[in-house]
Amino acid sequence: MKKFSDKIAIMLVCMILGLMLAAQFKNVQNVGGNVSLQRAQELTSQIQKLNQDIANQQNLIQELEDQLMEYEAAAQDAGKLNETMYRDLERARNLAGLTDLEGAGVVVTVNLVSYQEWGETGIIRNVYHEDLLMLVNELNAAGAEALAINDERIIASTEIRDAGDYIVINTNRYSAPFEIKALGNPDTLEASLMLLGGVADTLGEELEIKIRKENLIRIPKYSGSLQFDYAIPVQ
Amino acid sequence: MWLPLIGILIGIILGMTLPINIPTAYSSYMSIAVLAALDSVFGGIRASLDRKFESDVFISGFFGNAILAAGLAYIGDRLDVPIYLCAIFVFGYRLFNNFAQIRRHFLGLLRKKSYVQEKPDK
Repeated sequence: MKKFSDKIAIMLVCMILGLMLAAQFKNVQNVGGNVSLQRAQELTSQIQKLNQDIANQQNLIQELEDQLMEYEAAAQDAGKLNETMYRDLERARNLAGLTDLEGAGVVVTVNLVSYQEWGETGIIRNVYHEDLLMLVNELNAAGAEALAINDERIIASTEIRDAGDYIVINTNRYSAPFEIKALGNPDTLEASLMLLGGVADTLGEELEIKIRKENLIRIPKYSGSLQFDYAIPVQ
Repeated sequence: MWLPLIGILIGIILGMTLPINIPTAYSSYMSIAVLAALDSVFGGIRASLDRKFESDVFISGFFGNAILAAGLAYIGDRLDVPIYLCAIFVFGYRLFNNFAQIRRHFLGLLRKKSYVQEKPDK
């Protein structure tokens, strides 16, 4: 028969097991189990992006503060000069896409076409970044004054590129549906897209393209920061 | 027979009330260690049913297995080799094996009892 000390040993070890079980249980309750590797990688990349954003924003703040100080100094010098400078600045900001704009224009929506076959739903094809580039190109050619895709302002340095299942615009990820807003003469803009054999015609075979003329569209400003690290203006 | 159960209960109550917290980073190693410990306890129960229980083997197995499993899982993580899969497989397999033997033991006891009970009728 078992010795008494053996029983005590089993009991002690079982106690430790219970302790471990309880500790692990509490831990899982707190954290929600193991974080998968993929999720961790996703979060890491998000943190990196946010850190970069913060650095950019801090630079921008510094820059604006410097500017403000310069202008204040100038304002003390001459009131008139200050006013012209301000107007120039506003104009430059409008052209660069750093202000919200509104006016007449067109809204182009690009969506997937789904079909049903043998009870299964599928799509003809995804929206590629080239499609958006073609549309933006065409709108620019037709004299669009301001453009935004899904409220991401298209400016000189805006990228529209593939990133797996997403399309990256201004470093933010988007997937279909896309809504392209363009300020400009609505008739000209629409006509440029609706040309026979034109962009809407070609893309319309595989995607759902809708063009809507509007009297008042609002286009948000570019939300990132702009700065040159290498380019220096030629005097 | 009841001592292990009482031990586990006391342990769980202690663990729930005491403020013991394992850092999240080590949670996965702790889970492996728990599995190894569970296997050891089942092994101990089986051995005691077979009357082959030796407390030194049991206790060294309990701590040794738990530490080895967690340590290997840790090294595997550093080297990007999923050794923890191996630990889960081995200990899981042994756990079920041990449980099966315990089950057989009790079923055998039950059978014997009913056999003894039926005998006087004949």
